[in-house]
Amino acid sequence: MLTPEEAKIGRRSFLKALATLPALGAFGWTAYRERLHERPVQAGIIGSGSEGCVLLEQAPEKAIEFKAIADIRPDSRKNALDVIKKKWGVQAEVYPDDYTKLLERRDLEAVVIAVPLWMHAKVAVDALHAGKHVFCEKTMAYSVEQCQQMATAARNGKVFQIGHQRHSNRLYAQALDTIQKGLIGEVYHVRTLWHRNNDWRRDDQIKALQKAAPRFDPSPWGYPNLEELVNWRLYRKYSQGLPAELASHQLDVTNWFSGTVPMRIEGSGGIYKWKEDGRTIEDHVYLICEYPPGPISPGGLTVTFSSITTNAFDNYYEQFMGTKGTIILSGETDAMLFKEGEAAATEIAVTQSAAGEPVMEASRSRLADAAGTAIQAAQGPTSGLDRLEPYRMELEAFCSAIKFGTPVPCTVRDALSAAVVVIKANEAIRNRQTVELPPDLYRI
Amino acid sequence: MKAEGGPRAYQQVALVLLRVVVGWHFLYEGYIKLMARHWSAQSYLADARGPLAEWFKQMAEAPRALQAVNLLNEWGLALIGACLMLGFATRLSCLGAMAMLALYYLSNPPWIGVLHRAGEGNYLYVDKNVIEFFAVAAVLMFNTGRVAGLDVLVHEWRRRRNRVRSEPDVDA
Repeated sequence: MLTPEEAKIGRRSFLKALATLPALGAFGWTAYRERLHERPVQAGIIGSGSEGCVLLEQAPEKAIEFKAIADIRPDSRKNALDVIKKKWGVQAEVYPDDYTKLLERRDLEAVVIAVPLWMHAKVAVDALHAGKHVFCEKTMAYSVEQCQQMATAARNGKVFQIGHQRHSNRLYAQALDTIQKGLIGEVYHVRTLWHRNNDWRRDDQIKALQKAAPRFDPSPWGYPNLEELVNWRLYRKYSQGLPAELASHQLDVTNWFSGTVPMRIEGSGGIYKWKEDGRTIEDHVYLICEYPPGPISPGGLTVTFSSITTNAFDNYYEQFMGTKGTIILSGETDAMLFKEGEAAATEIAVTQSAAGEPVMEASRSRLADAAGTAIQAAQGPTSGLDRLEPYRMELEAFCSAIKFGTPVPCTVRDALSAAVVVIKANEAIRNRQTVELPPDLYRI
Repeated sequence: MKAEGGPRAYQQVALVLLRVVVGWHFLYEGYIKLMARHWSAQSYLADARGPLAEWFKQMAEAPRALQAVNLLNEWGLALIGACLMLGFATRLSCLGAMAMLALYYLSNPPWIGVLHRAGEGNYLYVDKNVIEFFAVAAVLMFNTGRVAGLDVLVHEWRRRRNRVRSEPDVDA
């Protein structure tokens, strides 16, 4: 039996014995935190179709590791499984019926969402509410209300990024720098276009899907048949058409470069060519966006966009027409500078400086033709840039934002602004009227 | 407060902190090696300099010796580090730490005439291994495990055991 004095000495000894234990605890905690920082972001993909697989293929494998796939399409799941197995050596868990089961997994920190547009908001909001960091493909959402719901859900401190990959394209960063430095003067007009010559259908995928899973029925998920599931881009119920799938990238760029957002939009278009296949979205679209005065356009700015599916001449580009010159950003890989009053074009290429920093090099290289398309087609991208590099860069930035709190390249405001213009563009086209875009529409 | 003839309380706290930070360093060095897949001391040994260079290089080429060196580095560093942090078997841990630091120093001594392997900083005879060696020596001299650490309990347990043994059997 201890005397009270002995008990007191015992307690004191015990406290002295454990005095440095918190230091070991601190070591364990910091070592664990360090491991978290070192290992790739643990992620799942929801929607592993063609765009989802591009993201998987381009994902920087040391920064992000995919462990789970949620997709209702058996063929898409298989493709994604193969990519993940080959790239990370991991047998990903598959969730064929319900993406929320993937969201319940506590070991996954982030999700990449590449589902059809009409599902963006629901899946992204569910993911944010489940505590996941979210990378969601563009366009942000099907409606302005859904965009606002996503923006509200993203206030929970999780990283939220929309995949407008031009924000991660060094060619665009350099072009913006060139414009902001006044090399082409004041810019009062931007011409954008995206021209194709095809029906935009994915019928080969229907055949592949029928072959892979003859009894597959998509109706429980809101698609009455395989046609609408595979060709969802052609139906208004699921898609915002050419403005969302193509113009959103280019309007995002004009918003970004101009430092403002449109205050008015006019539109025209219709189903001119592909009348027989049941589609409900336009195959020709023309937009005129009126911007207020901004940093590069002190008197205002008009941006035009055309997207046609019956002639691929000019491919796609954004053309910034300044008082001293013109910059054309073509195919996401080439930049050309035309000085006013000169017959020759100056081609701009992004190269690396001795210090490894990207720099723009300009050289007089070819005559001015219609964006130099013929020459470009023969030569391929002249800048040496890989069109897919921005996909890698945007996911790299997403992971960096998760681990180190760095800013995402495409903010909620950027994404919402582009989505608002796209959604209102369709209103303008379909109602044949000029649509006003008051500042409240862009408010988060 | 002042212990009889010993250091003052704040001096004791400073010595305990010194022991803990050295322990942290050792533990992290061991932990990193344990976490790294296929870590090996081979390249380090093969690139040894100084008077014991040949001996180190022989170890790099002998698989069994290398395996032992690897284990000693991985687990030795981690265990010594944990013991120093917790103040458990402190004196033994200090001796182990000093032995390892001496070997690290001798494998790449910053002496005149030795082609010292460059790292961060510049050294002449005294490098960070030497400084840490003497820091551990100070910790050893003052036996800080008895000030704050599990050695306090070990000491208490031993003291009571000895007291029970030395007490006369009242029934005898």
